[in-house]
Amino acid sequence: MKRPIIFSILLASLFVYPFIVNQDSFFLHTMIYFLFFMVLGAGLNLIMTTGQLSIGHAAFMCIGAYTCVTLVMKYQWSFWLGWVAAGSVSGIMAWILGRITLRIKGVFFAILTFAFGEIVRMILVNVTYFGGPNGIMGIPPPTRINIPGLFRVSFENKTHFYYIVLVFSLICMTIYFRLTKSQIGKVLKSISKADLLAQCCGINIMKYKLFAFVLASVWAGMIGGLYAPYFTFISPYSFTFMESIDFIILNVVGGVGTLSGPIFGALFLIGIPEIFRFAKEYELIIYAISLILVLFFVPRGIAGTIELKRRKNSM
Amino acid sequence: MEIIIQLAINAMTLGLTYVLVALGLTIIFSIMGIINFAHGEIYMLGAFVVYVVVTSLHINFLLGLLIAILVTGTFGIIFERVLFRRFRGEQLNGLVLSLGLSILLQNVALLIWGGDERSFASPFRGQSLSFLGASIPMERVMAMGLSILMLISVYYFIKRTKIGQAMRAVAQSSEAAALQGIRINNISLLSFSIGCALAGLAGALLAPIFYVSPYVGGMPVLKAFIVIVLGGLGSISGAFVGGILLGVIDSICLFFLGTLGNITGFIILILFILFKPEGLFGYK
Repeated sequence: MKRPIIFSILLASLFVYPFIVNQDSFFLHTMIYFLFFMVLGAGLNLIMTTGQLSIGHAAFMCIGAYTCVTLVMKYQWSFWLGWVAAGSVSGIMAWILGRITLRIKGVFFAILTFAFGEIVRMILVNVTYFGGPNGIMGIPPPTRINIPGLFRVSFENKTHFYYIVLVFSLICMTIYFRLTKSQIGKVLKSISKADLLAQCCGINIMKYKLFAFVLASVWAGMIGGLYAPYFTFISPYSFTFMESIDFIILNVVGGVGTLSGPIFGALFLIGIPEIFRFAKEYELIIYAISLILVLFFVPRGIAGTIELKRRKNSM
Repeated sequence: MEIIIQLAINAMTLGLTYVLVALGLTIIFSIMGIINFAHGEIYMLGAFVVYVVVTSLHINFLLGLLIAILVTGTFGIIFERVLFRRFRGEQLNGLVLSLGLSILLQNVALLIWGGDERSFASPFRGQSLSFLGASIPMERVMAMGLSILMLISVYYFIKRTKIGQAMRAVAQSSEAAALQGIRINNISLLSFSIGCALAGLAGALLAPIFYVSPYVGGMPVLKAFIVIVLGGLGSISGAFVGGILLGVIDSICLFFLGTLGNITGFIILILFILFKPEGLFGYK
């Protein structure tokens, strides 16, 4: 009885958030950034739940962003079509890559995805069609929606943009919650714990691994498609190895295979640097130290530790 | 002809330093099961130690190399004891820990020395050896000679001494090694320190040839990953051959393709993982 109430209050406050913070661009920006990271983290969390560590996840965000921007700016597509294409292209790429590489486990898979990310970046740096190392500037905001007589919305406004991001991330998080709680979530966990046993129980582990990998990449591609018009500028250096690492840190801090892991992780990743902004050049040092402290004292991640405690209490 | 020799010498110098970095990474991985992403920052540390020793303290460059090895080795001991020991065998958390350490070291270096690229001259600057008509800078000759010397001594240490045998035993199975009375904690302390010292030496050797900055450690670690996969994870001779091979491939591709040449290494890496994951010299 209590939980649905808290949940609906949270949800409602997310929707009225722009009016609470008085459309202050700093708070709005932080929130949009938080939502981006939460969805990306949730996707990677699904992959990591199966025991595969991808350190090239930002590459899919990159593919999505470049697909969307190329279609919109060079071929005059509507943003919404381009956005769907961004998700599909990065999904297809992930399917191809996953088919070939997901049978590999452990360190080698991590190095493979890392190499994939580097190759994508190097190709974009060297191909002038995609803007080369300078990237693409002046990306237009999403095409306005105009239904005559009903409503028209343009997205030059940050508040309107916030609502697209919010609705999209709520959809993604609902899927994530549903998946993690369902049978599929249990199967994904079982693959990382004992893949041979899972296989002996008749589970096609390749299918599940591929499913998690492709779903996460579709989300990453679509977030990339939103990222580009939001920042109006992308370059191959916007999506590097360091971004992929951020997503991993997010999940380790939040907790792999947990429901609220991506939320806590994104809070950590966005919150710590913002809180310690005043420390200027010490900011990243504080960030690194707090990361090491989290690893030492909450090795299962924040959400993982909470879940463990709750389970102990109920027993 | 001259160009070929020049290319070959460049390939050898680069290749040998890749080998030093890769060897440290592979030793740490086989003993502790952790991919150490902070390895590049240890390399950077080695470069800065030599820079400070030569430019501020005015100590001889060769002595500076020794100091760099000792300092990075000591840092290795501290990092293993304080940070990494607890995460032995934990791949994911160990990796994230090393990333945290890497961010920490990089920013501390940034705070102390700033982000500029600094260069300094070693006493061998300007001297060169002529070989088959091509002139080879003395700095490179020295870097090659010292790397080879270091590699041979590490190889001898691991293959021929009692402690080296213990290290190999722990790499094969730490539990069985512990049953034979080998102290795993001491072995992992030693291996981590050796690994760091190798990276520190590589950084110190390349510091006068290139430049020194807090970001200098990124590239060597990337290359070291390729070298390790090429040679076979955990194999010493594999790291050696892999490093030289990558040095050659890199120099040729960079010469003909420009910056796009860096891709070749990664494509080779992917092909190796897919079709020959045990590498050239590893075993399944």
